[in-house]
Amino acid sequence: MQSRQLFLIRLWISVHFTHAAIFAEGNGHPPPVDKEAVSKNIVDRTHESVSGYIIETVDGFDQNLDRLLTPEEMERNRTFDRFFGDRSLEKLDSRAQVRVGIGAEWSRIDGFDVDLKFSGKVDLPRTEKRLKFVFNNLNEDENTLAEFKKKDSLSPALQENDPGGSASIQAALGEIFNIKFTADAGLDFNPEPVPTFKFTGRIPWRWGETDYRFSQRVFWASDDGFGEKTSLEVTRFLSEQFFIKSETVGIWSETSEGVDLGQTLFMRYLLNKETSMGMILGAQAHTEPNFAMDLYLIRFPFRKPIYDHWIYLVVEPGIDFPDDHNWELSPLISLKTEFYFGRM
Amino acid sequence: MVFVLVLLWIVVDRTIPQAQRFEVFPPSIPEELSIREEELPLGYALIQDEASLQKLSLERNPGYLTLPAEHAALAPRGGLCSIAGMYEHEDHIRLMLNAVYFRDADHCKEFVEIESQKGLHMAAFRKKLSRSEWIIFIASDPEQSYSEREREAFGVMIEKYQRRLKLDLLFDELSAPEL
Repeated sequence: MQSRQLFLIRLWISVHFTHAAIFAEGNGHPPPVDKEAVSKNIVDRTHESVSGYIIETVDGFDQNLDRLLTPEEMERNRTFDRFFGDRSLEKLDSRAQVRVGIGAEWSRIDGFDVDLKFSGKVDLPRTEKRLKFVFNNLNEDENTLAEFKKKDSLSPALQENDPGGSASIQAALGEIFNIKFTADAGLDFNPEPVPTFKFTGRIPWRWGETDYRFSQRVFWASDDGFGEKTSLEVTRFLSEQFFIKSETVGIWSETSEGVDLGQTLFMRYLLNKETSMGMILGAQAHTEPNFAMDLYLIRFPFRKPIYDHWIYLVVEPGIDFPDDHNWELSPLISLKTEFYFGRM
Repeated sequence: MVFVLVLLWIVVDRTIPQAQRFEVFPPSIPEELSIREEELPLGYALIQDEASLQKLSLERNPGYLTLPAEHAALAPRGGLCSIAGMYEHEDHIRLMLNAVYFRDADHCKEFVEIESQKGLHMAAFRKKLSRSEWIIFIASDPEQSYSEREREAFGVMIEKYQRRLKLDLLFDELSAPEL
């Protein structure tokens, strides 16, 4: 574990030094945008090559999945497609994008920790956007405060289910009376692969200037059994730059303490097109054996692009008030670099 | 006068077989849209062997495409019928023609725009009719290599073909040298 942390710290520092070297020419500021010159540096070449690999991999995955799903008589003719391409592709731009976050966090309770997060959602154009490939290392089904993306903030019952990641195929099943249904089949990595199935219904609606979304999800994992997650999202844009979002979540699973409840309130203000600052307030509770609060927390996220629209710096100071530390004020700060690969 | 017209109608009715008059896919169109021998590069010829035609489920070369997946893909994009022609050089399929018929010019424009972005070695033409359009693609195989001389010969072929059928050239990536 220590060597993994050491490796991640070194990787993170080396990335920051690379940025520093790039920006050094402009006395600490990004140099004037000269697209051709920028495209010659090693960071951009690496980004191009990784993005190319992601797009190619997704395309191959999409092709193979399409072959599996298509009846034999409707299969594409390979000779014809070699010359003229796949005519079933009406849009070439599949949303193949992967986000990798490398960061470090210090908190008074847990000390220093290094963190690696990844996530992605990929449209598969050959299956006419009926399917998506979803993967991440944050199991949101068992996390009432998914907004925080931080396992240490979770209740002890949920910490036992520390997920190593998950990958699944998501199918849009259809829409009845404005209820959108999706089904996911895939694997959670705990770290051993665990088959999971999820069935979700979502009802979005608008009332005045406010958007609402009610979701009900039933999930099954071969190790932890059944569970269900109910959530209500309320989003209101007060101006083009400022919005408030509230999320109320209740989760019951065979491994939870009754129903785990979570409430977050997220406010974000856009300073410019890509730079934002915000505030998140959160609370978490469980219902068995008695109703009890587990945690209150507050965060101040600040997000800014630091290199060519695909590397972002996220600084997030905050304070936790956990029950298991007698509601003691526990300051923390996290510093993270997010990298975006694929089709930008 | 009326008698002459009636006589003419009877003659025409008897001369053209009824089955041919109701034919939706006239056999003359694939022949007309195909690349002629004098337009093809030296050594290239229309493929006639059964095994090669079978690869594209073609009854005749050039002929109407009957591939269900291709019809299913073209129909929502406005393509009403499709013609294919295969041309060989030294026993390999080296060149292919595909003509797609559209009634709607907007569908046609959108179709060409998407196909032109696929990065294939193709040339595309438009044949405007009074109320509809044909889009014709001539493509080489990206999995085979073509000499610079061959690409130049494709350029000459494109010019001759375009002139004969009075086509608008939409783009040409077929005669462009390989990178």
